[in-house]
Formats: sequence, structure tokens, C-alpha cells
Amino acid sequence: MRQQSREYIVILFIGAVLAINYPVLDLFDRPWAPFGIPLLYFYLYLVWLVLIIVLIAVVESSEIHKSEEPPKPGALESESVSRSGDSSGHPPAEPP
Amino acid sequence: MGDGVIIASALAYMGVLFGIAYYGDQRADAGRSIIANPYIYTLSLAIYCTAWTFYGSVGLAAVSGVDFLPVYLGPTLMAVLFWFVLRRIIRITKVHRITSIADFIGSRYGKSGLLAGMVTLIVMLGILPYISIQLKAIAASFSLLRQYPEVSRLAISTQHPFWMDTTFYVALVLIVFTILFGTRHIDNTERHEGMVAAAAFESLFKLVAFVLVGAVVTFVIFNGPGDLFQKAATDPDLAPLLRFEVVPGGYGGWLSLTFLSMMAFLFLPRQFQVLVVENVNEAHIRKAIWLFPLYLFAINLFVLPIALGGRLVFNNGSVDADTFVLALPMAEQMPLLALLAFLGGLSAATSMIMFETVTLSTMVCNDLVMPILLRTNPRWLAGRSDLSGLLLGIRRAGIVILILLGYLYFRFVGESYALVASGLVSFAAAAQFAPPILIGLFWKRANRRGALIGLSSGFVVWAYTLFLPAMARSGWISANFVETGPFGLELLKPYALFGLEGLDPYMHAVFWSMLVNIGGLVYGSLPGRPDPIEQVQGSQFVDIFKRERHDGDSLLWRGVVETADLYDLLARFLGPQRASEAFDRYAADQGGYPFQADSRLIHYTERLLAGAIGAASARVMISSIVMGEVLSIEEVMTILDESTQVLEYSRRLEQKSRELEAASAELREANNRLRELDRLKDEFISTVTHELRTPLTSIRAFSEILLANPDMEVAQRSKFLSIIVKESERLTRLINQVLDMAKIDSGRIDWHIDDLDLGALIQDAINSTSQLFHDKAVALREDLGDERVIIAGDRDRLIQVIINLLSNAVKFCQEQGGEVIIRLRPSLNRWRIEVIDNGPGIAPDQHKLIFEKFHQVNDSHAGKPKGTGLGLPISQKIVEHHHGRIWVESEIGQGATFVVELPGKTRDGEEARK
Repeated sequence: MRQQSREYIVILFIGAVLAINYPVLDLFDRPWAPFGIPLLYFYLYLVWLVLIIVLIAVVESSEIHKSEEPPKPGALESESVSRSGDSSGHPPAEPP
Repeated sequence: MGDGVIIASALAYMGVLFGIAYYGDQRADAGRSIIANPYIYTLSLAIYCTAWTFYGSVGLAAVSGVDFLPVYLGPTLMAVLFWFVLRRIIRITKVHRITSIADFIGSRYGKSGLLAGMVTLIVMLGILPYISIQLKAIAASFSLLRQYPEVSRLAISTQHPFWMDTTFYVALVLIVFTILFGTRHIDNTERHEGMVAAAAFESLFKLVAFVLVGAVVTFVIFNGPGDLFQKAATDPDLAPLLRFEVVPGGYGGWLSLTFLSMMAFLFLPRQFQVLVVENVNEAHIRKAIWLFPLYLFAINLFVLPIALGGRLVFNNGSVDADTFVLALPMAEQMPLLALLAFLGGLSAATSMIMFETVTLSTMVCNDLVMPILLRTNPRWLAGRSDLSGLLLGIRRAGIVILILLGYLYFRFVGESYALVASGLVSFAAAAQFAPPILIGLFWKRANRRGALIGLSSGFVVWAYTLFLPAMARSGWISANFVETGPFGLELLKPYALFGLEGLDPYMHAVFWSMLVNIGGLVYGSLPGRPDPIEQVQGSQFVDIFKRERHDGDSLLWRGVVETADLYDLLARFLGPQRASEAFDRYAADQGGYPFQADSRLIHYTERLLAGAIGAASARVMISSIVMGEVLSIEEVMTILDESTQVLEYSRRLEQKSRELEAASAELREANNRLRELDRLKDEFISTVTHELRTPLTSIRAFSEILLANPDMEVAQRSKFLSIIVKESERLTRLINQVLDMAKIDSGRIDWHIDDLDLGALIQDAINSTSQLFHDKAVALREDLGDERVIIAGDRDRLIQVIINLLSNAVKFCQEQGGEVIIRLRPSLNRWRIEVIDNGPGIAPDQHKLIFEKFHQVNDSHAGKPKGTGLGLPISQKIVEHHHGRIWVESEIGQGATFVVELPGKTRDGEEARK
């Protein structure tokens, strides 16, 4: 993930923590009900949804950096060969 | 609804699950995994949503409104941090073949068996309430559904003996299924692909069931959410549920619940299992980062509508709010939907119990029973050739014991509790693992002593502030313990420790337990010097992304052992077939194995063993057969650091070689240029000498004639002398020009750049060449305009250019009626000087060549060359130095136009450049 995406993610986390806690949350604890839904619920679910959408935007737009790829099987890691006969990591066949 | 229908559909559902799990295992064995994609991974994470979510969230929302949400907002926040935290844990787990959370903590702190065992004990005790509520949920939903069409509150009574208790039989069925699912064979990776596939299916199933019930409640029983909320808002009992005031503990409780859920989501044993151990590919995290929050969002969308709907429909409190999900479809006479809801709850509960108990039984076996057996009774173990059966037996027994303990907790403690309250006790227990893991991931010096102190004191505080009060509530301990403190000591009241009042019990427990846990870890880690193995492991865990080499722990021994001994050891735990498969793979990979095992093979065997019996036990086993000296910590760290340094060196080396390549390419180019220049210089010298020889020859010839004929006629003599003079002048001019050329080429010329009046400069040039025009009777027409043209330039050099052009023009003019025009005119923000003659003209292919040194238009018409061949090249150099251009426009027989274009001075005094 690019450096920029990492920064976005940290900012997103801090922002989300702030948004769903006191005192911001207190601002939305009001008797008003937009679209017939109580404001407190409306706000919390909206924050949740927006968070997910932004996460999609950040994560899906970022490339996996080369150094972040998992280590290749076999390279220096003798046990990774035993972990799997192929790259997808299945346990070896069970004896009959 | 008949018991038969319910039981049959439940068993059919379990059958489907088993089919999926079996298929998943088959595919895994065949090497074509069905769980190797991010969607299955994300769905499997959703075993986080247990019966607590399915029934308990509604129950909580019916009493405390929005209070159910932090349990799902916490994991959402944690998902945001997946890339930083989870990826690190997964990488470490894969590299070190870690099989459970106990193994992880034990490995981090120097492969400590004590720590791993402690984690296992905490988990066992902490998780009991959680298992018990799953059993309770299944039993309660079953008892409710079998009353259909009647809907009533009923105590799932513990009055009658256990053999008449539905819950007991539920527990038995679950034991059978879990053993079938989870302990078919000993795997050296502790991965259960079939179970993951089944869990993913269950996650999908419970989501569909819950959303369907929610949609029916919202849109069929009521007229959409607006109608539902409207009715709730007008009900004085329900109106407060729509606001924050009903949340117990207020904003502090809300925050602590979010924190607990964040930690529990990562560190509950089954979550660790699906998140980390069962992870097939790190890249799946990327999808899960947003997909899993989306799942939580979807399954929570209808919680409040169902809760409010239940309160509105059963307004006399006749039905337990924990069962609204089931009771509402029943009350509305929808048997199929009710059955679906029942199966949804069943799937939520069973997936949790199965995964949790399989994970836990592995931990109990690897981190509790085996280490004890290994230490207390090694001879007995040594006598057995194949221990894999023993391992399976221990695990199966573990599953039986855990589920039965969960049942006992339910029967004697849990009944007085709502689902959520019991679950939170377990969450708080799981949160105790957060400090040793998270701090251990980033702080190298955190050591075993600190982890032991922190974890044990955190656990004690947890037990004192949450677990014991729960026992007290159910009457096992005197209720006075909670009310007035033990022995009447007010300061030690479990819900208000040291007089800390006003917090809800969970926040209170989180505060104290985290305080002593983190404090203990830091306090214990600061002084003293950790063991070599602790240092190595700490360094390997923290620097997981930096190091290429992950076998520092094996370097700690450099002992001697025969390969056959290692094989025997492995065969005892994995069975001979798997052991020989593993050794064959090693041989194929490494090209055979040595008679005396090297550290690589020892390491390989240790990892394989660790997969089966945990890191701590594996280390004990290996050290029991490997004899020999031990590398010092300094040596090990040096080896590890060396590999890091080698990596760094090779990176630098690569960079250097790239730089070198670039430099050598530049050098090659420069060399080529130099050679070309050298060639040009040779050419130049030979041409110059040739050019010098011509006038010299004629001077010498005429001088010799004069010398030989002293009595020559005066007229003849003066003609010869004038030729000598002319040739000398030509020689002088040539030498001057060669010197000029050399100066310009080498850049040694001094330029005196000043503001010049271009018109006046041209006039001067005309004046100094007027004699030439006069001599050859060539007419010169000037067209210089009236404007004062100021440019920046070197006066003498520019005059030289114009004189050169004018004298060239005169030279090549027709003998008769020769005419030269000199013109000065603006062109954009530059100035053009044109010198036009009506001579023979220059062929287009010569236009470029005439600006080359010593090139002369030398054809039959022109006869003897009339110049030195350096005038134009010098002019070109001078003009180019003034950022101008010089060129010729001409056709044969049409005369020639030489154009000099110079940049003018703009108003602000800057030289306008191209």
C-alpha cells in the first residue's frame, strides 16, 4: 500500500473514533428524526456507511507495494515448502 | 410445531454444513482450495457474530437502545487498522508456524511454555460464559419454537435433572459434530479448510435469515421504518430508547465497550484462528478491510426495528426480548420464517462453539497437556512410537470437556444473565491479551517477565471485578461480596475497586485490568537482561518486515544430532507417513539431507513439530535430543543483523552498479566526441597548413625571381612586389582568422558585451569596406530604416561579421553592374540583417557546407578561390554566441542573400532569447 494510502487510513481511523464518541456524538443526540429515523441512529449508520465507502476508495485504489508481498515459498524459508506443495497453502494429503 | 420437524430441519442443516466441510477438506487435500479467496475469508471472519448478535443484540437494544452498536463499531475500527496490525501478526504467524493465540504469545516471549499455558487457562475460564450463552440461545430458541403457535415466556428450566434438559442434548450433539469437524487428523499446520468453508456458509446463512426477519418485521408487520419509529416515539416507554440516555455507563461505557470489542475481535481464540491461522493469503486482508465492516453494517441494520417491533407487539413483557427475532414471526403466524430464524440462530451458535472449542482444544493440547506430559513423564512418552493418536485423543477430550463445562456454567451460573452480559465477561478476558501482543509487536524489550506479571495481574483483576461477581449473582458466592466487599471491606468492592465509583462494571474492569496489565508488562520488562531466546524472538517479531532471515531461534543451538533421530522424533508426533513425506520434501528441496543434521534441518524439524504441538513444546523436544554448545546471544544477533546488512549492501551495490553503468555510458559518449574532435583537429591542421602553403609558395617563388634577376624592369618588379605584399596580407589574414577560430573554439576569447546601436555599427562596417566597393565598382544600397536599434553584443566582433559578409558579397558580385544591398529590419522581437548580392548564387546543397571550416564554393565558374574559408565559420560562431542565427538563401544564378538574425533588447532590458 502506498505511503499516501497509509496516511489516509490513519486519518480515517482517528476521524472515525472522534465521530462516534463524545462529544461529537452528543451533538446528534436530539429528538429530531430525518426521514422518520431518529437522528442518533441515522447519524451513526451514516458515519458507518461513509467510513466503508471511503475505505473502499482508499484500499481499492492503492497498489500492493512490492516489499509488502508475502515472502516467496522456498526462499530462505525452508519450512514454507513443507507448509504447502503449492503456493496456495494447503495441508498435504491425509494418509489413507 | 412438532419437535420432529424442528429437530429434523436442524439435523438436515447440520448435515449440509458437514457436507460443505467435507467437500472443503477434500478440495484442500486435492490442492484446489475453495477458501482461497477474499470473500470466503471475510465471511469466515463473521463468526464474530454469534448467537449473541443474532438474539442478544435485539435483546440489548430493547432495553438499552443504541448500546448494542459499539460491539460492531469496534471491529469496524479494527478493520481500518488491519493493514498495520493484522498483516504483521499474519506474517509472523506464517513465518514461525504459530498455531494459536497462546502459541503466539508464548513464542513472542522466548517460546515460553509457562506463558502459553497461562494464556490457555485464561482463555478456558474466560470463554466459558461465551460458550454457555450459545448453548442457552439454542435451547431457548428450541423451547420457544416448539410451542408454536403459542408464544410465551418460559424459563428454560434447570429444575429438572440434566437428562431431561434440552440444552444437555444440544451440547451432546455439538460435541459429536465438533469432533467430526475439527479433529479428523493431526495437521502440521493446524488449519481446517473445511471448517472455514462451513463457517463462511453459516455466516451467509445467518445474515440472510436475520435480514429477512428484519425486513418482514419492518415492512410487513409495520409499514416501513418511519411508521415503526413513529409508533415507538409516541410510546412513553420506548421513546427513551431512541436517545443516548439509556446507554448504561453513558459515553464512558460506550467508549470502553468499543475498545473491548476491538480487542476481542482480534484476540478471541476463534477470531485469531480465522483471522490469522486460517488466512491463506495476506492480500485477502485488503478486501476484508471494507467488506467485513459492510457485513457488520448489514447484519445490524434491522436490530433496532426488530427490538422496537418486539416491544410494541409484546407490550406486556410476556416475551423475553432476547428471543424477539424468533417470537415475532411466530406471533405473526409465519412458521417458515420462524424456522428460518431458528436455523439462523443455530448457525450463529454452532459456528462459534465449533470453532472456539476446536481452537481451544488445540491450545489445551499443545500448550497445557503436552508440556506437562513432556516435563513430568518424558519416559512414558519416549516409549511410544506414534504419538499422533495421543494428540488427537487429548484434543477430542478437550472438546468434550470444554462444551460440558460451558453447559455447567450455563446450568449453574449463566441463567440469571442476559446473553450480552455473559458475552462481555468473555470479551474482557480476551482483551487481556491485547497488551502482550500489541506491545510485543512494536517494543523489542518487552520480555517474558513483564508479560507474565502483566497478564497474570490483568487476569486476576478481571476475575475479581467481573467473573466472581457473576458467580455471586448466581448465588455461588454470597451476594454481600458485591454489595459490601469481601469481609466488609468497602475499598475492595468488585464493582468499585479502591472507591472508583460511577463507572459501569465493564468500564471499571477494563480500566483496572488494562492498568495493571500494561503497567505490569512495562514494569517487568524495564530492568534486567532478557534471555537470549527472548531477545531473538522479540527482535524477530518486531522486525518481521525488515529481516529476510527468520531462523534466529534455531541458531541458538549448534548442537550435534543425527538426522535419523530427528526423523524418529517427528514420526512420533506426526505419524511415520507424514514425517517421511516431510523429510522427502526437504530432501527434494535441499538435494538430500546430511547424516549429521545441520541447523537448517533442525530448524525445519522444529517448525514442523511446532505446528503439531506448539512452539514451546517443540523446543523442549528438540533440545532433549540435540546436545551441544549454545551460540551466544551476541553471535545470533550478529548473524541476524548480518543478513539484514547483506541485504542492505546488495541493495546499495545494485544502486552503485546502476550509477556506474550510467557514468560509463556518459564516458563512452564523451570519448566518441573527443575522438571526433581529434579527427576534426587533424583535418583542420592539415587544411590550415595547406592553405598557408599556397600564399607562402607564391611569395617564395616571386622573391626568388626577384633575387635571381636584380636588373629586372621596374614595372615588372613592382608588379611582383605587389603580388608578394598581397600574398603576405592574405597570409596575415589567414593566420589571424585561424587564431580567432582557435580562440572561439576553445572559449578563450574575451567578449565585451555592451549596448550597441546596430544601425551605427552597420554604418561603420560599410565605411571600412567602402574602398573594396570602390575598387570593384560595385554599387552598395543601404536600407537601414530610421529606428534606433539597440542590442547587446560585442561591437568589434559584430563589425567583423558584417565586414566579412560585405566583402564576400563584393567578391562574388558580377564584374559588370554588381550590386549589393544591405538591409536591417525587425522580425518578431529579433533583428534581421540581410546582405544581398547579385553574384552567381550558391547551390542549395552548399548552403550548409559553406559554414564549415575551409569549405569554399569551388567550381569551374568561380575559378580560383577568393577567400580563406574561415570567414563564414567565424561569423557563425560569433552570431551564435549572441544567441542569433546566420544562414544563406540562394539559387544558382539568382544571387545570394546572407541573413543574420540577432535577438533585440526588450523594453525591460532583457535579452529576448529563443
